[in-house]
Amino acid sequence: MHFVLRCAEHAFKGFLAERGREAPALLRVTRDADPFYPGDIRFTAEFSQGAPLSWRVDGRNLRRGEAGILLRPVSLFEPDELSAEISSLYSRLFEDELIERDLRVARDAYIAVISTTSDPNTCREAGRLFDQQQRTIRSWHQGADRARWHQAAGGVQLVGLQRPIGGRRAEIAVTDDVVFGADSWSTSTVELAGPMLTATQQREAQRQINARMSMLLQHLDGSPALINAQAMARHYAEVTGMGAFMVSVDVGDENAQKKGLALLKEWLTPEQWTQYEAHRWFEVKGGSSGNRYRINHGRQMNIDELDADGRKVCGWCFLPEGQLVAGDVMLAQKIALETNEVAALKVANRIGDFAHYVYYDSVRAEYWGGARLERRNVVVVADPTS
Amino acid sequence: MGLQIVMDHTGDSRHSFDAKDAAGIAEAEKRFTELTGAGFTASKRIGPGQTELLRKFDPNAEETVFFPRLQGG
Repeated sequence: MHFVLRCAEHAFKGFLAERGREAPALLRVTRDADPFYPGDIRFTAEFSQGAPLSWRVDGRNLRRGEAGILLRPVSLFEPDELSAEISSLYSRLFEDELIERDLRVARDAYIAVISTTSDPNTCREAGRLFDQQQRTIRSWHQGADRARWHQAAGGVQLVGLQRPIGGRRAEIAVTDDVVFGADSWSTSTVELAGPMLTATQQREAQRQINARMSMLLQHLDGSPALINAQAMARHYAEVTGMGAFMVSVDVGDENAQKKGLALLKEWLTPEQWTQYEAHRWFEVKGGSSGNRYRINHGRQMNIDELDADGRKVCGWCFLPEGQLVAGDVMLAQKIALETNEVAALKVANRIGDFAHYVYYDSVRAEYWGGARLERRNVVVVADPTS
Repeated sequence: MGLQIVMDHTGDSRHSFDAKDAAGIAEAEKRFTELTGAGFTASKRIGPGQTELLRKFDPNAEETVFFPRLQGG
């Protein structure tokens, strides 16, 4: 609590002093349970002038005495409260700690990879990813990417909901929260973890996920949107031992989404459209490599590279800039893979690299209080919309 | 008639032009140049489901689709 008070006071005073303004008086600090994260605490500091500052403190880590590291302003998660001022305060207060922490996690993940395999290709790939992660982390923390992402996301940062399901945990969070911005996914992730659920419990989990996703979408823009479980989630679960959905939230209003799908239909081959209608995915052939790709309905993390037998090799993620609807994104992905595959994959993020998963998993494990989940304790529910 | 389809947040915006009309072609070429200059990719349809990248304006392309610069997701 003292730490929170000091942070709030120091932040606001420093911010105002820089601008030659008088520091306001700290009126009070209130604390209440965070509505989205049971166990977490939300502090709000009110001043004689200016907007109140809020922080969410991870209760689990607070108990471990690490609140100083994990203090993060709630404002970053809730766009209505986000202001340039608070963002600036956040940067000055916590950026050094966060960048050091992110880099340490990335380095630990890299070491974990090279110490557990002797495969030179895996090590080389892990090294490449480590380098990339360092660049991403530094870039993100320097603000340019973060500002761009904020803009692209329309200011929406995070809606997180958590509620026990039959004694297990279900969590919905925008992954940016989990990875501390080291990865710029704006895709939502729905994760279920816990002992294997019964069929009835799975249905209940699906129902609850649907309800929560509806709330999430209402928070996003109040308009209907599509939610699609990605086949990638299954592969992800196999690699990490973590149950996960990768849920892609479509953007735009209903008319825009329909126009996108109409355009897609016009530009697909009849065979591809038949595939899409039947499975909500279609296959394309890489223009340079001849490789098979399956484009699942969605905007992000929706491309699977397949081997000759149709087994997934890895996933790819790239999409056009801007808030294009899913139909447009899928068409752009098709055209790019068929006509300019090398350039497309050059900008794409590869999904399925061991190092990537170790990194992501380690961050998330820490986020969850340090407990690593075991594969046998995983359940993957196929489709939250079914 | 030529048709330029520009992906945007509304789904897409469409602009048609007459390949026999010099003014229409000029306007279409201007749009092509502006969009590709801004990072858009242009691709014309050459058959059912078949596309070809356009590096420069093709007045004879019946349908051209433009999508913004690709980025990693």
